[in-house]
Amino acid sequence: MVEPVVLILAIVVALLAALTVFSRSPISSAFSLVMMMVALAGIYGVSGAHFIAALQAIVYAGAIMVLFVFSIMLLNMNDEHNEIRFRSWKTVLACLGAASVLAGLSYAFIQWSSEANGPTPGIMTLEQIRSIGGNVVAVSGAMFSQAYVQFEFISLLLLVAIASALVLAKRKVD
Amino acid sequence: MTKIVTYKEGRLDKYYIPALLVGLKVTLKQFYKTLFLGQATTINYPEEKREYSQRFRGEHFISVDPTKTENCTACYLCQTVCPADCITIVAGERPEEENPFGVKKEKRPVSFDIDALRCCFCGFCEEACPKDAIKLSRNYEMATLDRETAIYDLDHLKREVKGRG
Amino acid sequence: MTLFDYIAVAAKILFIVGLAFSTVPIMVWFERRGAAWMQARVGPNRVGIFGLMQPVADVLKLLSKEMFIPAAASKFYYNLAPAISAIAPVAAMAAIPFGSYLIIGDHKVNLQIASLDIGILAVLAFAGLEVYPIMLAGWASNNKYSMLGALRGSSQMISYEIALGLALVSMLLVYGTLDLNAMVVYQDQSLLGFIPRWGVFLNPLAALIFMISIFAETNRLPFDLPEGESELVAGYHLEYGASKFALFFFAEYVAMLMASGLFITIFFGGYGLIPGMGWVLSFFQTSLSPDMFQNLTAIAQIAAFVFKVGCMMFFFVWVRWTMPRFRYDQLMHLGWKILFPIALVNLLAVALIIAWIGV
Repeated sequence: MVEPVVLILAIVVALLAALTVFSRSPISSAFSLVMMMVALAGIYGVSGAHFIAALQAIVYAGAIMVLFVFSIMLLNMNDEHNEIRFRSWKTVLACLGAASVLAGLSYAFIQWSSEANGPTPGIMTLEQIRSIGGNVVAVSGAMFSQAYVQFEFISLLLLVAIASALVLAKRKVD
Repeated sequence: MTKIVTYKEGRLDKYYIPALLVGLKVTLKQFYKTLFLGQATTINYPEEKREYSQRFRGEHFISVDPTKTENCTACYLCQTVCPADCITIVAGERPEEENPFGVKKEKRPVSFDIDALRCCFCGFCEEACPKDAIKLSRNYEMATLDRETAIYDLDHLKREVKGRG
Repeated sequence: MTLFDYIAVAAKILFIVGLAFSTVPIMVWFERRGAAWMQARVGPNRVGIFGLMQPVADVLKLLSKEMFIPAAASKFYYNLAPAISAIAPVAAMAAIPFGSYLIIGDHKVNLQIASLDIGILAVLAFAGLEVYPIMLAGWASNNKYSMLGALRGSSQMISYEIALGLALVSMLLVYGTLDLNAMVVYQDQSLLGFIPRWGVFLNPLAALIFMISIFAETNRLPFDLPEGESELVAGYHLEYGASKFALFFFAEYVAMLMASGLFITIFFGGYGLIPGMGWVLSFFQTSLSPDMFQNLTAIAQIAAFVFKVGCMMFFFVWVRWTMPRFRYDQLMHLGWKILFPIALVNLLAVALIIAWIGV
């Protein structure tokens, strides 16, 4: 069912994710996250979604995580701040949050898998994608027709985030 | 004569790119000149040597007459004038048979040492010498492998040298 | 996949890696002798004929030196950084086509290691990973100069990636594809009958922005601030010696090779024949079978690709020994306040023109 390459990559992703959470130095934590993104891109690539794989590598590993690592290097955090205290309420809350996200994703995945017979918007087999004309066409078609409003809202949200970050930073300078 | 180049900043210079193109042209021209016309200024040292001027002050030597007798009469003038204190002379009497040309040189240096590591190549010894005995040649390849070799004795100073006679 | 496919892929990988490994020594030699020629000097001419064995001597020296790790460095990342720096550009070269296809027996061998429909994004994805070795090397060395070099390098590469991306997007609008092979095929036509339809003629502004950005991305002069010798000693690879330094050195030239390959693929017709080569080839068309003629064309295309990359590499060296280094604020000013708006306006203009008159 599952290809061995995907299985190996999935194990690597899981290990790197665990390393991200549990490693002591912030840099090695961030770098494990980068490697996790790359391995995840590998899973996408092996599954035939080359476009998503490239985007994963460019956007997450190539751009966002660079900013993360950059700010961590600038802040020069000490080790004392990142000891994991398993009993604190923050940890419990974080675990609950992670569990609920996992539950939601699994529910959605099971729902979609069971409805695989009927045409569900957003789910495509590799053959369907090939008949449309490739991953790029499929993704951009979905983005600019089905999910157009959401896409515009997200871009607006990003604009608001940039503007507010500017305002916050500016106040400090004055 | 230095060529003075003046350049008036024009409107195009504000856009940076024309200036870059001018720079690229200069380097490309030089590239062509060096590679194809052989206009490199480098001297390939051990094979080619730089020709220094006649006044260049290099390694010391003591001039000799045709019988290989040194012209020095151990008068100590060079030793006295030397600002670096690098000349050491021990004087002695010269045998009669070493003066075949009628010029009587009664004294001779028994030993004449120059410490080239101390020498500052000012050429005062050359100026002071009444017999034109000590001179500085145009040889500048004076590197040695140990310090002892850099202290020149009389035999070393009396060798045949090309350079200023 | 049959055995033939495996052998074909292995041969292509060997060709690309061989190209990288043979380009680096030649480039190291040419960088030094070319610099000398541009400065009216002679350059290294002692080792071998014309000094061609000089890089071999350099590499032997670097490999035989002691492997040194600074006491306060974090060992794992210190050792990891040069490895990533060498791997990323070589991996990116996998998606760049270096010829159309060969016909061997009844098989058709595409002269491209990974024929992806999103080729350009794959190249960008691997090229984007080139930031990490600089950051890691600077951080793991535990040296303030390395750290400063790493900060400079990473912020510079992020800044210029934006202008590079926008220039690229405008070209993607023109070509209407992400496939590098299709781009080359598009550029293989002729424009107005006498000049090749190369990207540089269609969109010269994008070509200029892209070129400036790849200089910044590969940390070459005039953008070599991460290793600015005069103020940061050697920047991010200050604490590296022996074979690890050799890897960084290797990576710099492979990154140049990759960037040149990408640049000529997008703007100079990739492996497309240089004007005049097609005319020479047409003499052989009648005397050879169609398959053999295709093979001959493919070999000519490989030669054209190597020639174009060579010209670009010469340009890299030429610029390096002409331009002085930027000041850091000037660099950021150029990236964010000049290139970025120009690239945006250019993108808008290209989009409007395509919307009005079509491609």
